Amino acid sequence: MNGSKKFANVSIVLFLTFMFIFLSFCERKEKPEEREIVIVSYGGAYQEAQRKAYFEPFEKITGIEVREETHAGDLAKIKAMVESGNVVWDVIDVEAYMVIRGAAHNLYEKIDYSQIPKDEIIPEGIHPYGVANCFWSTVICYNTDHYPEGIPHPSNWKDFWDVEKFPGPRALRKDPVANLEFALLADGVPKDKLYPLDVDRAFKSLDRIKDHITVWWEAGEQPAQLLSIGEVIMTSAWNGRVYNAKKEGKPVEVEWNEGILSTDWWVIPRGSKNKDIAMKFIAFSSQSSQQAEYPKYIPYGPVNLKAISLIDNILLPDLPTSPDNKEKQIIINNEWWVEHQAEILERWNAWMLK
Amino acid sequence: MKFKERRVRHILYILPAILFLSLFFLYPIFDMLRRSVFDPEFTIEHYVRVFREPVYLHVMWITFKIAAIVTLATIVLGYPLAYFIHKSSRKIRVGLLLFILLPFWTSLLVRTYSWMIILQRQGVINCILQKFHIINEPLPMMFNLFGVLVGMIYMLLPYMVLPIYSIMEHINPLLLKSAEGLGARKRQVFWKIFFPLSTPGLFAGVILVFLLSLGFFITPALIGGRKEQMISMIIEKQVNELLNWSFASALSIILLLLTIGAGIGLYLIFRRSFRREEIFGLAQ
Repeated sequence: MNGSKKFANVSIVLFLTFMFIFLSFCERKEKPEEREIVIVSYGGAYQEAQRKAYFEPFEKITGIEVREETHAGDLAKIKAMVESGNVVWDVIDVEAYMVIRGAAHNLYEKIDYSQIPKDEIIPEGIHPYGVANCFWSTVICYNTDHYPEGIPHPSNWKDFWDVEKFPGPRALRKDPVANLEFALLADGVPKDKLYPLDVDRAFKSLDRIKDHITVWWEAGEQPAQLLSIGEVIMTSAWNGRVYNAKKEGKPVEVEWNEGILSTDWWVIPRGSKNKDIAMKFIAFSSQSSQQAEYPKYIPYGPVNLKAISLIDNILLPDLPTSPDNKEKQIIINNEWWVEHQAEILERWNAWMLK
Repeated sequence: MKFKERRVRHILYILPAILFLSLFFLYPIFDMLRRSVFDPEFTIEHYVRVFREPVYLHVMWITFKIAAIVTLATIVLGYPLAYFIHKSSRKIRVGLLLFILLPFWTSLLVRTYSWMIILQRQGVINCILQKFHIINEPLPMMFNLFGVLVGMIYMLLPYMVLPIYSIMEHINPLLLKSAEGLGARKRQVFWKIFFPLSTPGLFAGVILVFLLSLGFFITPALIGGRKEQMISMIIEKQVNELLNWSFASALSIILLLLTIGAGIGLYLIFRRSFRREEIFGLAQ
């Protein structure tokens, strides 16, 4: 190949390369008349329920298109987005600690409470930078092949800790959150005297159970899976996942006693280009009518107090915030956790290795 | 062409790669370094914390220990396998390479889950062993070091086998023949000629497997027990949940320095093998 042909070949290759790079940076031009918002949630059955109860009705009523995305609770992603100024998400479903920590890092827009039915929502669900959207629980779950009807199953955390009365492999989450509360309850601390947590006492209590824990689960589906296949016979778990497994016929069941109630929230990332529509959506989905729709598709409780009376009685036993179930549980203290999480996590990691 | 002109041309060839790496690799690392000491004012608190709280060095130690065990295991399993492939007929060779490469191209997460199905208490192995009454209680093969090692060795074996195999293919067979002709026994030919010439491949494999193990995350997170904490898991939690990017950066920079140190150490160990290459040359 002579010199000029070589040169021509190289130039063509370089040109094509740069064209590709350039084209990948070009963004789709949005038609100015059609507005849309991007709502991001945790995917799976959880998001499916939100789609049916919130996203689709919202689209019908306002004509604004809802584009969905998923995330796995990456607060870091939100921070990166906001700090770089390239905010492509408008509404995000986040866990409670992410609201508090994210607000401390200045990641969210302030909520305009003039649009929200503020007095209908439980006081714990109101925050300057977020609005709660549902209640879910971390509860004791057990395998019903091992503990069928009539046989006593572990019904509180003292039972869970009692390896003589209830022998067998068990699991807990690989995270101190909620586990410290469970340890204190197992040690005899009354439900209303939990916070502020006596951390030393909690770790001493955890020492008693540490070597009897077969699995320290990390992913949400693990507990239901582990119970279904009999890898463990009892575990802490998020009630929604276990409910799904139960519906599929797996031998699992939920014990509401001494469960921990947590909340998920809507937030708007700072710098969202559709802030106004985002606020409208949050206002819409906080109404009692929509909040009462939600439990039809997933066993999570509404935060709108008026909504509970609108819900079908059949659904109540599986909901964390039905009157019967709610009184057995403890609402988690998110402020306490956000303040102490870093140091406790350090202690927890060291403790796990011993 | 004069020597200097050739040099310039060689640099031009790698210029795009250097630009790419500088922008997307070197710059982020410097940014991470900056973040680890500016929070936002200058502070060495994060580095002090890593050394003050014993848990972080403990986890680093566990990480390096697991990486070392995995590397040794892949050498013991991988070298004979590479040799076997090298000595096989063409048909068998293609089949074996396919067996190694196909899982290699499958997602890491899928392969980790497959191992969970095999190793768990009601998994394939335990069910078979119990059915034939070889054991009475299921063996605990998961949520412990054993499970993590099995998973990691399986995932990283191709990285050891392929470099060793490719170097073996380039060893000049005339050298081996002439050694035999001069009266060397088969064993001497292997240990005195073949094996030393294959060590560059071993070096490449060791570097790949060891460094990749240091960053392993999915397998220890899903199959490991509470004692199998790797530094990658700690860093991930600091970045994603705690949003403490400065501390995470400090941990990452320390990990990077330890990794570079390990790389230099391995190079010093294998240095002699490179010069052997120059002396004896490789087959064309």
